[in-house]
Amino acid sequence: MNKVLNFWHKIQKIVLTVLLALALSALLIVVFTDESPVVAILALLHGSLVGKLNLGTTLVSFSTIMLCGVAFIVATKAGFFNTGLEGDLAVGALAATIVGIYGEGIPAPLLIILCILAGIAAGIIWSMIPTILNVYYQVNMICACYMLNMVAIYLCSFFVLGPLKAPIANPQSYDVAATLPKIMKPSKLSIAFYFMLIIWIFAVWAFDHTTFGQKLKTVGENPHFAKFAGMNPARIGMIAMAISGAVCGFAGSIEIVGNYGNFQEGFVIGLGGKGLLAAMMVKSNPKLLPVSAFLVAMLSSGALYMQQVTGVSKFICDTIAGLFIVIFTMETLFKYDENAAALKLKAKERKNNV
Amino acid sequence: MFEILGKVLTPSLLYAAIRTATPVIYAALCCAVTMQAGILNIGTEGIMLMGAWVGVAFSYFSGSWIVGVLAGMVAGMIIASILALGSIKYRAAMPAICTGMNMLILAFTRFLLGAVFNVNGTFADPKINAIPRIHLAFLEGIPFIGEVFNDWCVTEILMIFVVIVLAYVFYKTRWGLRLRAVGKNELAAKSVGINVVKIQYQALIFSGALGGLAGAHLSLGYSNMFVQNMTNNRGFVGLASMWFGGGDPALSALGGFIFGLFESIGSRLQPYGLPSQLSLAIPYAIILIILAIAMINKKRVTEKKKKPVITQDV
Repeated sequence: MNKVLNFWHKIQKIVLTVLLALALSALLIVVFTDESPVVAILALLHGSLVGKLNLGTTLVSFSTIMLCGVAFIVATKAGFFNTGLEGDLAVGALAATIVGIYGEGIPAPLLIILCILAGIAAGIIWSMIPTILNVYYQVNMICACYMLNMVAIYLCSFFVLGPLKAPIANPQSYDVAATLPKIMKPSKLSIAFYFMLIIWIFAVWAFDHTTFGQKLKTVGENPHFAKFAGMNPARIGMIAMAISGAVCGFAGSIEIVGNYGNFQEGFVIGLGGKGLLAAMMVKSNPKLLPVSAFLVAMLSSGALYMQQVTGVSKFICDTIAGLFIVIFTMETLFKYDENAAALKLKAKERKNNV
Repeated sequence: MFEILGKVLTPSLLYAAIRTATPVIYAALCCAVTMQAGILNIGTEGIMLMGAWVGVAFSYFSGSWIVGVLAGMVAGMIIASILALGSIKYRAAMPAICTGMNMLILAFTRFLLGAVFNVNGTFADPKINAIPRIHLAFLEGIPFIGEVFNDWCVTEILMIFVVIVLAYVFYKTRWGLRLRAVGKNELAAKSVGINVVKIQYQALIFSGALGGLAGAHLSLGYSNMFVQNMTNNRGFVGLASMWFGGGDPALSALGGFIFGLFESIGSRLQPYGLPSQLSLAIPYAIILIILAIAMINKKRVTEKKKKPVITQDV
């Protein structure tokens, strides 16, 4: 009974949060533009779901957001707030691009595997810098991650606009020598989509059904207890961050060898943030991640179409997502707090008695 | 090599460093206030960006930079109060709500830029009244001082005062003592009758005012326009500087100054063949390195301090 009630509380909270965020954004649309919010939402749905190109584009960003979300959740379970997703993703993509360009001549399947491995390795190395600083020297993780994100993004930009620059007008690198087959032409969606699904299913399974998953949870919830139970919280945390970096690096590398085929300057900016957003929307529950990830992907891929059709600025979508998160993180906003109510009642009674 | 260094390391470099460092120093002070109360204010980035937008908007519509700066500060205070309300009353996890707020404001300022000024990305207009620079004629001829201390922006001069005032408030006033007590040990503070929640609210809102000032200075004093995402993670650099200084106003300001110094050196090395992207990346890497060195040093010092206590116990 209690479980059912809890579930209803959760659903109620999500629905109320969505309604509040939507109401606030509708207010924004009404105040600042002449369009009706309903028209804007319909255009958004059309731009992200109707037609192979639109749906495929949504699924491309969906798979990246899913991977970033999984990476964030792994780190969160171990008690780290990993804001370095974007940097890990960027160096992963950069490593895959470099291997993909200079490995020309290697048979295609082997080259793709090498690219992905390079991406994963780069992601792990990049995520280990803040982790080691944090675990051994208490350097603030969030701070270190943001600094490294900036360094990673500028580093990528240096390589893509410098040594790797393709001799065309667009700011992008040379094409990599081998790419994964596409599955939904004319969009950029490739079979990397299935890889993502496998990783997600494995993650959902591993959190509940493996020793390491349980260890992660214990360390994240109570590191002192974990220590007494004979675990090494520092080591488990570092492994979790390495996995997080690896998943991000993988996401970066499949963006290159799977979806785009080359490194487009600046494509990583904001991707990590979206993954973080999706993971936070479901309170780091891996089972619900696809729902929020799809929502975020829809918001980002349908936004441009909405702007072109209705004249409502595409940035309204990110605003809605941000509003949602800010409202949603407030734990007790829509919760009927029994303890507080009881205390108040008691105080009232006492007053009456006096 | 030395020739280039000689051309780069001139007195005017100091002036440039202070110019680029001031927004970061304000951001660091914004973080320092909440840090003293034991709250890690990751929302500095968002607060700054909102302050920057509001500062430009009010300066544009009113024609007065004072109104712009004050409005920016008020905007920062409003954002900080939302964060305070969410994290203290409604139990939001501070990193989560702050990250959400940063994303929200990044998108919201972009949206407002289109909705209010009908531009995309950058808003620059002669009607924006910038914060004036103070030119002191009598300093002109003096070789070193004339180059470094002349033509300071009003808010840059104010920054020095803010550092001093904050140090005074933290270490010499009753409120500062309470603030630090809350930061050191919440329960102990509660037990001696300090209203912890009230102090936390005050600290966050005060820090919001400083964050708004940081943003307004960035858009009105440093650049005189609004560009989308113009803070470019300066809020987090401020956070790092604050960690470097351990929440102390003067040391945090020093951290911010080091960032500004390397940003100016980087931009000066560009004509000598340093790629622009690397020169932009260097200050972020440097601030992380000095932060790491400071923390490693701190660990060594605390371990040294611990030793005699342990031997006494045994």
